[in-house]
Parts: sequence; C-alpha cells; structure tokens
Amino acid sequence: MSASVNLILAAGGGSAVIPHFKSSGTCVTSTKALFCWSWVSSHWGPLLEPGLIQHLELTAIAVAVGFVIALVAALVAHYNHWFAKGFLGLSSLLYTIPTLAFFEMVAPLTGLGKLTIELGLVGYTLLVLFRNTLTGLQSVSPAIISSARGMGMTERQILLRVKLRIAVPSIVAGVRVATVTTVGLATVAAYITPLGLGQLIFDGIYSTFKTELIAAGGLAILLALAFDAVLVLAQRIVAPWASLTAR
Amino acid sequence: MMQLRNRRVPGDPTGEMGEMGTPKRASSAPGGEVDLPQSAGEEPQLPHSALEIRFEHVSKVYGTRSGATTALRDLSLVVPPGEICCLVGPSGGGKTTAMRLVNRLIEASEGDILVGGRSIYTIDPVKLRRDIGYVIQDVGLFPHLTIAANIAVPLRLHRWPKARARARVAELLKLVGLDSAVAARYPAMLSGGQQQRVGLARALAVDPPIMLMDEPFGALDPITRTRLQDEFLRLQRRLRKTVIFVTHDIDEALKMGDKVAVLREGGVLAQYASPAELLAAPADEFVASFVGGDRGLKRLALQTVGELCTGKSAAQLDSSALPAVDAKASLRTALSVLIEHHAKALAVSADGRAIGIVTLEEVVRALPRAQLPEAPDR
Repeated sequence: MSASVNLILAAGGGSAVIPHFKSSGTCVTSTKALFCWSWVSSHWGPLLEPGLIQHLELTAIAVAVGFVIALVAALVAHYNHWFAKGFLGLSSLLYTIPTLAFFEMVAPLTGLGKLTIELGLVGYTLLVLFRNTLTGLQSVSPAIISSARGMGMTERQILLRVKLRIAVPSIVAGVRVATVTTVGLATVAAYITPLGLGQLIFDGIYSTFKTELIAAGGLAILLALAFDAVLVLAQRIVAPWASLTAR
Repeated sequence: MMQLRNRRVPGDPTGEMGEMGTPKRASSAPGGEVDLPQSAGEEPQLPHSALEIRFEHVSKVYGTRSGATTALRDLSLVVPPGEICCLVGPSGGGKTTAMRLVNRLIEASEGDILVGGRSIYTIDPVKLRRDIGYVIQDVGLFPHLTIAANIAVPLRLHRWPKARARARVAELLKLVGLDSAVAARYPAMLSGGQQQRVGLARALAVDPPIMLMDEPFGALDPITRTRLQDEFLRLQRRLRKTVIFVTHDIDEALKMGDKVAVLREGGVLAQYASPAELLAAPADEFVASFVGGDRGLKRLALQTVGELCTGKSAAQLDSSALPAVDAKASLRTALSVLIEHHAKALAVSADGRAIGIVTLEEVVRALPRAQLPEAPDR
C-alpha cells in the first residue's frame, strides 16, 4: 500500500497520467459517499500530514521574508516620502499580477522549484504588510511623539521604543491578512511544483474521487484559521493594551 | 553628563542659588544627578534644584513661501528660580513657541536663552530635555506602557537601576495623589484627570530643576482643573521648580503665576509683572482688556479676609447677627457674601472662632486705586 503511494509521490502527484485512486479502500466501490473517513485516516501519514507541513512551511517562510522586507521598507519609507511612494507603487503592481502569471513569469529565471513559489508568495504579502506597517508608524499621535521628544528621547529611541511598539496592532493586522491570503495562494503554487496541500487539491480536482480534494481543502482552511488564532494570541501577549485603545 | 545641574548661578539676584551647589547634591547616586523631593512635611524648602531662566532678545521667525512670519519678537525676560512664570495671550501670541524654545523643540532665530546662567545652545538638546520636565495638554502618555512604566520612562533614560526606579515611581504616584493600584493599568483605563496626574508624575520623575507646562489642565473639566491647579500649587510650594506655564486663560495665569507675561499677536511681550501689578496697573489698553473689565474683582481674589481683618477684637462689636466668612476666604468671596445678604458687614471667623468683622466699605477700599492706562485718542 505504502509502496504504491511512494511511487505516485515520486512521480509527482500532479503529473500522473493514469487516473489513480490510490488505495481508496472501501470508498472506491461505493462512490456515492462524498467523503470517506477511512481514506483520510489511511492517508494521513503518507499524504496529508506531509502536505500540511509543507504548506505550513511555504506560508511561514513567505510571510516571514515578506515581513522583514516590508518592515525595513516601511522604516525607510517613514522617513523618506519618495521611497514610500515608490515602494507602494511597486508592491501594488506585484499585487495586481495574477498569481499564475507571476509564477510563469519568474519560472524561466528561477526554475520550477520552491524558490519560484516563495518569490511569488512574498511578492503578494508585501503590499498589505508594507502598508499596514507604515500606517501604524505614521498614525502615532503627535502628542505622544512630542512628549517623547520633550522628555529627551533620541529619534532612534522614539522609533524603536514608541512608534514601533504603538504600531504593533496595525502590523499584526497586516500579518494576519497576509498569512491567511498566503495559505490560499500557496495551494495554487502546486501548479509549479508539487508541494503542499495544493498538490493534493489538484489531484482531487482531476479525480472522480473527491475525498482527497475535500480533505486537503479543509486542511488548508484549518491551517489558515490556526495561523490566525496564533497571531491573535501572540498580539494579546505582546500588546495587551491594544484591545483597550481599539475604538 | 548632567548639563543643567551642579552649576552655580553667577550673579544670582536672590542669593538662593548658592544652596544648590552644596555637597548634598553631589553625593546622590547614581550618576549623582538627582535629588528626590522630601516626602515628609509641607513646609517650604530651599529651592535647591531650581534654576533661573533668562530670555535675552529672543526672536523666532518662520520662513514660509509667502514670506516670513514672526512668532516671537525680541523677548527678554527673567524667570527667577523657583517661581512660576505664566505665559498668557491670544493665539498667535507666541506663548507656546516661547516655551518650546527652552527645551529646544524649537530653535530660536535670534537671541539666547540662559538656564542657570548657561546658554542652552551649548548643551546637547537631548541631554537638555532630560533635565527639563515637560507636560502638555494632550498628556502624551504611551498607550503601550503601564502607568508605572510610563512614569519610569525618564528614569530609564537616566539609567536608574530598576529597584530604585520602582521605589521612585511609588513615591511619585503618592506625590500626585494617585492610588498605587493604577500602577499596573494602561493609560486608556484612566480618566483625563488621572492621566494628567500621571503626566505630571512623569515630568517630575527625575526631579528636574525646570518644568515646562503647555496648557496642562486645558482639556479637563472645570472641577478637575481647579483641583489639579490647587494641588500643583501645593506641590510647587514644596518642590520649588522654575516653571514656565503656558495658558490662554487669564484667570488660570493670575492664579498659577508668581509672574505673568502677557504676549500679544505677533509675539510681542505686552507686560511682565506679578498678578497684583498686572491687575492694578495694566501697561496698556491691550493688557487692560485682556485681564478683563472685572479686574477689580480679580484683585480682590488675590487677598484674604484675614489679611484685612487684623487687630480688631470681636468683643468690640456684636457680630452674631452678621453673615459669617472664614478668614481664609478671598475678599472677592466676602464681597459676594455681602451682596447675597444685602449686608454692610461680615463676621470673620478662624478655626470656628470669631476674630472680628469686615465692612463693605473696608472691602471696597481694601486695594490701592488702580493705575489705568490712558485711553487712546479717539
């Protein structure tokens, strides 16, 4: 059983020419059932779990890299009006390019690998991460900055100890949107290379047996919700004051 | 390191400044910069940490595309150490500009400002500001920090050890009349009045020799404002800071200021005098109208019934039928009571004992005649 699965995995899930049901057990004979739990439990270890972990990795790397780039860009943009406009334009442009077209565009340069996927995913996170971080930095009230400066904080201290801290809720809001979006976009990435839950979803689409599609799709949704919950929790810990000032 | 402290003031007119250079200051650790205010007793102490502020021909001109705007024109004035100087005037009078020049949030176009005899332009702005308490109308508390952490920010900038900073925060909360339970709360959980108390505590944290206050009580309701004004005056009697206090409210200026500087549009100093002088002898029409037509009543407010009713025996007159006022009440209050009761005299009591009477005639003649500016030719 597991040998056949390995074979399919080795051949690449998306590239299978002959329709396959893997070892679908009892469900294959009674195809009326839309969802087959026994398939899920027998394929959790070999298929679903690795897909889920790959998906989590793709998303985490993309958001983390996007966050670092957006943070640095927002810090520069906070002091340089022209850079702000330029970076906003660039990230908006990246955002408007359809996902698949973007993958196709960079694939000749970066190959059909993880790098291509991450490039695309990072590109999509930039706009929301950059805009939210910059907005957070800029929306700190002048009274707070004036009193910080008046008590003798250096500009650097004002940035690191005041502005960035007060921007946390806005930054986290951006990260939440970027993460949930990336979980969704990363499923499309399987079109380029068989990674993550997207690979199982593509398999499921081309199959009459829908359990795989539903299970993988459901896991993607759960992953997005889990990421979101972790981020909400993280904000509660890092910025417990945020819920007080939210109006 | 500490730029403003440990400096004697050459030619200090009051002679009080000599006190601040005593070894007692130098021995306070760490960094030797800060004296904690004594928490016991209310008796006035020597202004050991106050410094004189001197404006010398200070101007501030803003260049704009349409030309230059003068915010402050040739301001020269001296705020003696330990006194409150209120800057008052209409908007556009340059009062906030004048105040923010002192901690170099704004740089002067011309002239010099000396603090404790030393030009502030010889001091690094960041270091200068760390020795100046700064309170603004919008308070500007950090929403992401607890009250205790907010008050400790200046202490952190001065690198106080944690344990000592914690003790100082507790002391400051008591000083400004806040319950120690607020220490762990966030600013958003406090009322406006409480927030301004925290702002005051934060400004007083390192016991700075100078305080700049920009309409600190302007956003508060009248009752809270009066209470905070009174408490600040009581604190000031003890702490003796040199304070520049900006307000647009002449009544607040007259109440809070040892000296009041009236600025007019274009940043011109119209008059710099004590509240009593300002009311009795306004320099010109502008000041006279700015202090208001009821300046006679305002003058009465500066004197108490007890000061008028001295050396009279209660036995001389039967005061039992007269309306009573406390000796600590102002003459203005006394006049109001007289009017209310259609009375010609009041019984004055101190600590519940009758000490004499004051008559309407005495109240009316209590103050020297005002010297009003001559009305301009019509």
